[in-house]
Amino acid sequence: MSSDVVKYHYASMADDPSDVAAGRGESEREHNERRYVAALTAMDIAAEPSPTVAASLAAAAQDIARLNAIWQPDGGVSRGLFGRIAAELGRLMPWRRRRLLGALIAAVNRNADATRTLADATQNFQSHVIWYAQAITAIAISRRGQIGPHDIEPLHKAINALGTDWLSRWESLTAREVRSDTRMDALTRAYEELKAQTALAEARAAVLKQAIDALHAPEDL
Amino acid sequence: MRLAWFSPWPPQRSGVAGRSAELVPILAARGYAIDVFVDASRLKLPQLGDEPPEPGRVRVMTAHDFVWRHRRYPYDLPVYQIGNSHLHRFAWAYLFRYPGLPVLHDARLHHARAEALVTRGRVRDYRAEFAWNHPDVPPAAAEFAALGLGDILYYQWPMIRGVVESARLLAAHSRGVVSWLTRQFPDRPIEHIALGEGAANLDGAAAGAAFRAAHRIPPDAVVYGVHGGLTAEKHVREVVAAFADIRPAVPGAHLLLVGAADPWLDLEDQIASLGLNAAVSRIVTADDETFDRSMAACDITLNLRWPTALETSGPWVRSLAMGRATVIIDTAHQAHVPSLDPRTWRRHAPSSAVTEEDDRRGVTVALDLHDRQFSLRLAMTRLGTDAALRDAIGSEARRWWEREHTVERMAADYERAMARAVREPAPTGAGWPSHMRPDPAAHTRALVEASRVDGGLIADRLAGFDFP
Repeated sequence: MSSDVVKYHYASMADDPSDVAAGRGESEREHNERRYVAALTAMDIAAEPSPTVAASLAAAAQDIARLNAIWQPDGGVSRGLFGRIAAELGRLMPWRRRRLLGALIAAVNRNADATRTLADATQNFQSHVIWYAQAITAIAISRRGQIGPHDIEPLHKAINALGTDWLSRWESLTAREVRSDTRMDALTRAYEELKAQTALAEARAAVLKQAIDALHAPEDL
Repeated sequence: MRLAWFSPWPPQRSGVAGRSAELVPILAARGYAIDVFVDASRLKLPQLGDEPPEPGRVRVMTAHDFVWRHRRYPYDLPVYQIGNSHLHRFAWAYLFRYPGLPVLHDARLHHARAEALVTRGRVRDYRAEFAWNHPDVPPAAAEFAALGLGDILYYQWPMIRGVVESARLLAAHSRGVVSWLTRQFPDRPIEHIALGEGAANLDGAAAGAAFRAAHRIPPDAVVYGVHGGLTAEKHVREVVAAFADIRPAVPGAHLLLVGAADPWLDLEDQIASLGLNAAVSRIVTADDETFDRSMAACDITLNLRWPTALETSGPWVRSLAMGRATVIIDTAHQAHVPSLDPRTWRRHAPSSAVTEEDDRRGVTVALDLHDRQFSLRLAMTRLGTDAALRDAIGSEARRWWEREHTVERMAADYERAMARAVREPAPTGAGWPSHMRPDPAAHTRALVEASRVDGGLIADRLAGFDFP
């Protein structure tokens, strides 16, 4: 296995010490996002073609070619009756049979290796998919948590406390304002009434003065 | 006059339902033909024929019947009983579509509109309606409601424009609300209709004595009462705490709590923890008669609801009818009520009523919001120990009720307002958010299109289709 392939048991998939250390200084949401980025990166790498699998498959292909070459040294070129009989007799020769069986066993072994490598790679990739899904779930939970009951309740209380305080001041002031307006209206009416009465009194005083002046006038003469 | 009366209706637990049920027969007896349209999903209703309403008769039916009945036998006036609760949800669509006489029991309607829109997934409609109602408020404020954080903020932004602008004539049960709305909407016709309720002829002394005997409350006890839903807005916990504090100063004090309590208040625990079990009586459920008798058993009733939806409190009005000394919160929409400040026992300032005679004409005791705790204890102590003052305030309360809150007065106000409403032109509704007057045929068109039937005939029928 090449060193650049991230296996599913890679430490960062678990709550490793670096996670714990980082967790002291970051929020749950940041922590989950960091794990999400790591999981995504790892899955990207896991999704790439595996060189180990490729090498195993290439070797298996070579073994199969060699096996074919031993079975049909002339490449299966069409021959006459005597040629085909000679080829069959040649395959029965002990050294030819040993060579063929050796190549066959080597090919089977190589194929088993390739299959095992392929299974490893598949398991590796599937593990990363699960890890990625776990990381996404954590993100989703923490995102939902931002407006969930345990987070929203303090916000709700704070808004209500501020709103209540503000609204109560507004209510108290408005009540006074309404009374003040009412009083101002009453004062305005009273002022107008006073003005009218004053004008009337002045008019009456003027009339009275004229009457008094008229009474005094003959004596003065 | 044919009236279409939209209202909650008994047995729905609502003061509006009770008032409608009391008033409608009185109006019918005066010759009105009244069909009461209710939320059929909440009430069991009999099947009715399709004949027109008859003068002097009251029929109760589902609101879904209104449209076709109105097309067949047009009503002269729809009357909408409007409050800030989900019980009025069924009426919104009719109110916006068929201009009539909305009667405001509450003037802050944000809770009801948010309930009708946001909780039904119509957040986009809510945002549009909020922005239209309050163009001077940043639209982002609507997000508080979308996130379920409205509560106290709902009280600040009343969302009442739709009701005002859809009405031929708007009426409110509070004089303070009428003044406020007249300033806000100077071009719209708005009138006051008295809220009439309360027992006119109940023998309070006998009823109170019988109630006390039945509930083992000593006849010589000074009884404080809190009536109606016992909720946080009524500051019931504050009342219980204040009651515990003033007991040493008021020998024989007793507290009567009448109504279902909000379980979040943990009233039982609070009462027990303060050692008040023997001095507090709880009446969880009460019909109207028991409710009034329990008020008659009180010497002082406390009605501390705040914040309010600018309503005139039904239990408070019933206490006035009973001639009881009452304690309320000093609010702007109730500033016209002659009230005493318990810190001075004079009329609330500023006021032109500055004489001792004016002070003797106080109808209620009103607590300054910012001095609520202290003022409440002052009020409870003085009223608990000064029977003459209690009687004086109670007598003025009864006189105020006879002038402002009798059922006869309310019926007369309704008649006057309805006569004016039918003469007022219907508003156009121009510039409204589209969801307030949606295309009534849209759903039918969508069904026809989805079913891929030949909709030619139906399309012809729906062309230009609109109500009324």
